[in-house]
Amino acid sequence: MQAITNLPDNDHVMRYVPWGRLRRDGDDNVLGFLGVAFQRRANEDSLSVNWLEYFPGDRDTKIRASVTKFRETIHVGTKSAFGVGNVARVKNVCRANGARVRIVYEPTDDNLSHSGIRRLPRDDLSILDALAADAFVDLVQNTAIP
Amino acid sequence: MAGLIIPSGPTVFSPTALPRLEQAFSAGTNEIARLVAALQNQPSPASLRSEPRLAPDEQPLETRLFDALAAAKILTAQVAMHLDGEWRTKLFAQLDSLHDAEEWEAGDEPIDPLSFQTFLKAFLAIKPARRPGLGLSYTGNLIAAWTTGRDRLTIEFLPNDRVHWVLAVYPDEGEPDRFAGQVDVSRLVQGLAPHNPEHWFLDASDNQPAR
Amino acid sequence: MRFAASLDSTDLDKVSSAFKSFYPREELLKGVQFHLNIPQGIDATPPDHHTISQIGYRRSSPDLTHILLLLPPMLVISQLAPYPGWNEFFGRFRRDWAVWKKSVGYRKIVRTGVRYINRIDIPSSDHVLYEEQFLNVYPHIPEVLGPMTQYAVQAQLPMLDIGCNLTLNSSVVLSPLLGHRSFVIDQDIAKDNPPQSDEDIYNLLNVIRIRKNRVFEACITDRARELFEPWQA
Repeated sequence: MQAITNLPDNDHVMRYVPWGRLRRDGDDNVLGFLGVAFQRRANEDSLSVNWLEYFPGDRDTKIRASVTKFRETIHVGTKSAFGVGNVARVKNVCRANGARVRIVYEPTDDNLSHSGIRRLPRDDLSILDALAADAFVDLVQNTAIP
Repeated sequence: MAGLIIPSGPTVFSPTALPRLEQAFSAGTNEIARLVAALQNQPSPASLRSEPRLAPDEQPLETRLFDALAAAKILTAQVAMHLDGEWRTKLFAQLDSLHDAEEWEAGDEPIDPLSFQTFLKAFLAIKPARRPGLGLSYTGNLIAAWTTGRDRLTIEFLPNDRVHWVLAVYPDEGEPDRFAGQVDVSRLVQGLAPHNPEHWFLDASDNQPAR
Repeated sequence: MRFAASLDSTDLDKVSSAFKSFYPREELLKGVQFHLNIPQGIDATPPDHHTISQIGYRRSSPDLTHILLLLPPMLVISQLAPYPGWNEFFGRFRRDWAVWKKSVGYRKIVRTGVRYINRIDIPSSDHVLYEEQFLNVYPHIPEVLGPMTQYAVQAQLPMLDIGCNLTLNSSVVLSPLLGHRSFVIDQDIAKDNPPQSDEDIYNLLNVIRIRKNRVFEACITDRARELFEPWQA
């Protein structure tokens, strides 16, 4: 059985964010992420993310590879985006808002980079908003990745 | 003057509010009751809808999305007289955009009409000069977001007149201040009042600092 | 518009298709009515039952404010808020009536009517709202019984001068607005055995429209009038 591995603090994770959960202004210009982009579904034990450092190469290469993996495994909408956050920062933001999370490696058959953020409260809007604003600070538009 | 009591919660008028007691009445009394029931205000024919023959999760996605949008637009029609025409048009465009089948994530629910009702009540009470960005939770709750610089106000509209709101104000230095609330929609304006709502709701040119 | 002879399914399909460009969205309407009469002494007499199946179409514009109902005995043209005004709505009726007739031909009309449903939203911060301050149609309840929490009234009145019947409903409804109480004034003005020519139908509908406005004005007080700018309907 795979040993539970916490991702290193210096590493990064990437979260897929569909169009409906992007933070936009009244004219639908994208500004960032809504907190609900980081909300676990009722039947999920952890929040799904890709482990960026699983992929080789420089940062841009890793990002492209992670997006490609998302496209292979889930439906990626044209207008969607991806949030990138540093592992330590994600944990610190959650701790500052009252939650101690673990970010663990959870590979699946079709996605060996798959990881999960565990112990994230599901309905705490403050934590979710903090993740959206202060943890996943890099936004990568799907259209920016060929 | 008799007057009407304004109840604190929603009331439902039911023509069948009384228990069915036909077996206790004579044929003549039942006939009178039938004639009275026939006088009840019948629904407008335009409100006739087809009943879905499939369970929601068995319907094609496009059908589910359209039906949800239709319900929201019909709810908007009920308050159209209180809405600016241009705002209504843009609201519909935002809702259509949220329900684009190409962007839809499997497992998500389209907009819950009860959530949208809560949104309309809130919007008509707040009357913001700035339109919010709209989003949707995976359970179909509508979300309105106002962003001023780094400062953020996000409101999630739940069924049955409940709202969850969170706002974050970023000082020049240091960590943001976050405030959150869960209230009945009738108390949303009151709940936001201490946090200078004009900072989000006014046009950018009229904008006030958060504090 | 109600007709003496119902359309069959072929005609219904055909007429629905004819409206596609004006009402792009189509929904199938199906209703089943089951009547079960069980006479006294059921053990001795087998029950009678009738099953009626009705099929039709509901078509709508993309923003869902223009609605068209196509049923075997009926044609209904409906407008949800925001109302564009009578001229535009009447223009749509004339267009749709022409399309309908071109598609299925002449059918004898047995009833022509117009229904107007107005909701009046009254800001209320008081615990008790006195409906007679805003409406002239409401139930008269002895004061000793105290205030009501709900009511609905209906009256049917002849309009002999125009050969129509008015069915007037007024009730309290759940308000979609915070801090408001809402009432509905619902008028149905219809003529049985109406004229059959287009011009006479149009004249009748214009007469009904004028009468509807008078009825509505009679049903509300000046205080209600102050709350809104009346629609030029």
